[in-house]
This record gives sequence, structure tokens and C-alpha cells, in this order.
Amino acid sequence: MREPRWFQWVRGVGLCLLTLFTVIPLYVMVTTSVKPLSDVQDTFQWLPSALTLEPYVDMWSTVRLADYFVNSAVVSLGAAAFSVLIALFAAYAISRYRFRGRDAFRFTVLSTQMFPGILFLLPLYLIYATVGQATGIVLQGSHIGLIITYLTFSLPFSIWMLVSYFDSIPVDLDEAAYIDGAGPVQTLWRVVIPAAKPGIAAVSIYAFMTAWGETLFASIMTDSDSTTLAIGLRDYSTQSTVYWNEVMSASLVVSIPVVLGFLALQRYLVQGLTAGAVK
Amino acid sequence: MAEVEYRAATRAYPSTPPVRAVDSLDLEIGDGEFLVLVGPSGSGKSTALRMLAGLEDVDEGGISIGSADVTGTPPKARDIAMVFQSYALYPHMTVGENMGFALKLRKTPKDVIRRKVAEAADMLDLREFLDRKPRALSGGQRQRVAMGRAIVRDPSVFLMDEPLSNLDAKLRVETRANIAALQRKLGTTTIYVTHDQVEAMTMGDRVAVLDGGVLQQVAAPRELYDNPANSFVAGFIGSPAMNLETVPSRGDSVLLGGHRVELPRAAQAAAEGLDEVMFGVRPEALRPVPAEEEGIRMDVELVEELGADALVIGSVDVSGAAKRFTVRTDGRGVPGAGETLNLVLRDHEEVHLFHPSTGQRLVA
Repeated sequence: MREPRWFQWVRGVGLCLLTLFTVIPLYVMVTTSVKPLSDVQDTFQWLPSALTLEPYVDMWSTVRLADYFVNSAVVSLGAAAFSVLIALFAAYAISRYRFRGRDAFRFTVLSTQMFPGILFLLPLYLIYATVGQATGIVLQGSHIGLIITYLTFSLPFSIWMLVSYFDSIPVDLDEAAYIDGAGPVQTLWRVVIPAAKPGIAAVSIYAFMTAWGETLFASIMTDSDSTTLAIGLRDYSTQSTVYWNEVMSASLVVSIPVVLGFLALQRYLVQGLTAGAVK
Repeated sequence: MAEVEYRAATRAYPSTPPVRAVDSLDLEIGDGEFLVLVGPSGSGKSTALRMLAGLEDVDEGGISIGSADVTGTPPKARDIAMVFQSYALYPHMTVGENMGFALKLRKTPKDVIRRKVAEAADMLDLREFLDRKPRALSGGQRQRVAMGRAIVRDPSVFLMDEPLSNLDAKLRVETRANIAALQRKLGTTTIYVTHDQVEAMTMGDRVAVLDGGVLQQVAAPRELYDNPANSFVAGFIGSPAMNLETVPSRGDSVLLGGHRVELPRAAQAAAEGLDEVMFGVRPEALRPVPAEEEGIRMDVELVEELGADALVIGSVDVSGAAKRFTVRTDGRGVPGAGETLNLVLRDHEEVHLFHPSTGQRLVA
């Protein structure tokens, strides 16, 4: 059946508006990042008066962007790595073994997703402070502290995602591996994990992105040595001036790793998110 | 190669009361024998196989392979290979890697693995597919890879769990013959699970029939067909199924379709004192006679022409109720639906009598 003409129009106009809605911020970001400082200090201008790449050079010296970059990389990669590693074993156990408390554990893991992050902020801060006083291990303001913080919310979701992925891999494969002479760890390592690559890719991207862009916990749990990018971008606003052009150029550069990672793994990600939908 | 023994092996799933999926199975399989486990779904045949594989616990009794008691040992210590219904090929490995995986785990030298995989691939016509991933193969090719993975191992026992059920009808018949031939050539003890009684009859040296987790009978296919131990086996083995009805008995004869069918002498003694017996006759043991001769009256409802012969299906009066009977007749000159046939036994020894309540065979 052919669609009526008016429907085609409505759809066309609707999609155009939606596209504008997504593209305009990007346009503002890109154009602002090549404007001279004078363009961004008064009223907003749609077109730059002159094009310059200076913001891309100056942004590294205005604030300690390189340090923030390293901090973010360490924390995000750490959070992603631990998320995947722990979630792999937890999800495999939930998916393949029947043990007492399995359902309770599954539900507990899920329920952590139902609370807003800010509820955990104060308790976590107090725990870190207490642990620091009692043991001398500095969690508050350190990379490891922030990694643990991010694990508290990326890990439960990662476990859930991987459980559903593992559930879509037939148990026959595990059994075939047992009969071929593999033990449980070999089976996980040589048969189940390779078959679950798309799911693992999806989980690592998720964990990485959650950590990379997070601001709430990062604003409290970091000090000047461990500031991450998302927080560091605020430093471009000084008492006298806001370096909007550098904010935008820095924001663009900060997005690059995430976009690259996403592109590299998107094939897996799409598979990962649709796993189990069809046989 | 080795013999296999189930000793009162039981698998009971915890519930109230426990479900005995396999109940005190006693079964000995000879060295090099091809044994088929057959039964309807839920009969425990797959569970029995998985117990032997070590994928399912043995709750009571024991299992041995060769001279070793393997009850409770993990699958990898049993020296078995298994072909799964789903084939369970490792999706991320090539055909060659799939077949060599077991050897790789055993740290076999690479050149030996390559040689053995190539040998198996030649045997199964898989040479040109060795570098492909399973997803690039057809169903029949995947099935052969699953077979190849088992052969490469050179195990003491092959286990096959409905390996043909995902193939189309033509390929199934072809592969059936190939598997049977391959097993004879290799001489490896094989336990083969199927729900298809034609597979069971054509492939097995012996066939074990299970129902409700209990072994009903184990015998050579011919013996199973000619002398079923009880009414379940009688009804399950044979296609089309045996005509099997409980009929009034007078000791020396039974009343069926308005006709007194005289019982064989040996059966008369066994049926002595019973008001009714379960009477069985195979479709090919009945023969239509001209209308003027006396016989079991059957109202024809449907005729299935198979070419060489035909199946005539109709209803026969048994104690006032119409029961469905099937007769195999010559393919030429078949009766039409609505006609009435008079049937007699081709050979009056060819009847099967079972106890009306226990279902056990009455004549040895």
C-alpha cells in the first residue's frame, strides 16, 4: 500500500526538524571552536568574523588539559577493564550455574539501577573518608577511588547485559567443550568468551563512556591532581573571561576518543544490543 | 573401544516426589556395538546418554566404560566424544579448529593434529571447508563437522544425541546410511539416541526402548519387531503402528469386528482365565478376502497409496465401539473409502497377545 502524500510531507518536515535539533549544537560547537576570542565575548554570532585555529593551541596552556586527559583515560579505562573482568565471571556464574541465592543476587544487582546516583554520593564520601582514616589508604581524590566509584554503577548494568548475552549462547557449546576435555575456566576462556565478543564490546564501551563523561561524582571525589576532563572543562571560565572558543575546541577533542572507540566497536555494539532478539 | 555398562543407574530430579527421569537402568553395551536408545519425548533416553557423558549426575547406581567405573568422573576423564542435536560447533573457530580442538586441549603436537583433522575431513568430504567458519556451511555440512569433531578424537565411545533431527528428510536418510557405515568401519562402540523408530530399526545392532525412564526391552531390531515384550514396545516399534486393542476373550478365540479370531495354541493357554486380552496384529499380517468369505469386518475410511503397497485405514467394531485399524495391502486394486472389507490373518501365528492390565506379553 502506498503512503498518502500528506504523510510523506509530515514525515519529511518532522525528520528535518529533528535533524536540525541535533545538528545545531554541533554546528555551534564547531564554529565557536574556530572563532577568535573577541567573537565569543559579547552577543552570540552565528558566523565567525574570522577563522582561527588558535583555540586548539591555546586550550592546552589555558588549563592543564593534558593532565586532565590522562586522569580521565586512567579512570575510564580502569573502570571499563574492571567492569568487564568482574562482570564476565559474575555473569557466567549467573547464566550457567544454579546456586542458592541466585535470584536474590540478580535482583539486588538490578535494584542498584533504580536509585539516583546522588543518593550514593554522601555515603561513599563518608566510607572513603573512614577507610582513609582507619587504614591510610587514600581513596578520596585518587584514581583508584574514582574507579571504584564508577564500578558501583557500571558493574551492575554490565553484569545484566552479559547475563542476557551469555543466556543467548547455547549451553551445548559449554558441554561440547567439557566433552572435548576443557575444564570450567578453559570453557569460559576459549569457548564462551570468544562467542560473547559482541556482548563484551558493548559492555566495555558502556563502562568507558559512563566514566568518561561523568561529572557529579568527579566534582566531589577528585582533587586538583586527579581532576578529570569533564570537570576540567569548567576551568576555562575564569573570573574575568569565559574562553568559550577554547571550551568548544577542548570539548571536540575530548569527544574524539569516545567517537573512535564507538566506531571501532559499533559493529559489535549493534550485535550486542540485539542479541537474543532473533535466533 | 570399550564396553559400556549401566548398573541400576538412576537420575532423580529434586522435586516432591522426585522425578525419576531415568529409573534403575540396567544395560550392557558390547565392545564395538551400535546401540540405539529410542523412546518418545520424556522417556529419559537423552538423560541416559548425558549420564554416560558425565553431563548429568548419576544419583543411584553406577556407570562404567571399559573396566573403569566412571560414575562421578568429569566428562573429560571419560574418553568419549559426543555429537549434539544442535551440533554445538564453536562459532568463532574454523571447521579445522573445531575438529582439532579436543586434541589441542590435550597438547597434541600441531602436525599430528593437522594430519588427524585432514584424515577425518577426507572421510567426511570436508576437505575444502576446513578454513570456513560454521556459519558459512549448510546444515548437512555442519552435521558432518560435528561427526568429524567426534572422529578426530578417536574416543572409546561415540555418543550421538538425535544427530539427524535437524536435517531434511532426504538428507536424513542419506546421512543415516553414512553414519552406520562409518561406525562399522571404525568399529567404535556407539550409543545413539533417537525418537525416530525407523532410525532405530535401520541403524542399531540392538535397540533399547525406553518409556517413562524405564527400560522396556532391549533386543535386535527383528526380535523387537517380532516379539515385543509388552504393549508399549508393540505399539512404538513399527510404522505404521501395530493394531492394538483390548478385546473380549473366550480362551481359545477373541471377538473382533463381528468375527471370532482363533488364537494360536500356545496363546490359548496363556489367555486362560482372562475375560479380555490386549490383541495386536501388524498391518501387514492382515489380508482382505472376497466379500462372501467370513472375516473381520472393516469399514474403509481412508486409503493411503504408497506406490508398491497401500495402507487401508478403517474402523472395526470392538465390543460395540468403533476402533481404527490399518491394513497394508497390495498397491494395485485397492478398495475405495466407504467400502467394507473382510479381513483374515495371513498366518494365525502372527498375533501378539498382552495382559489387559499389565501390558506384558502373554506368549513367550
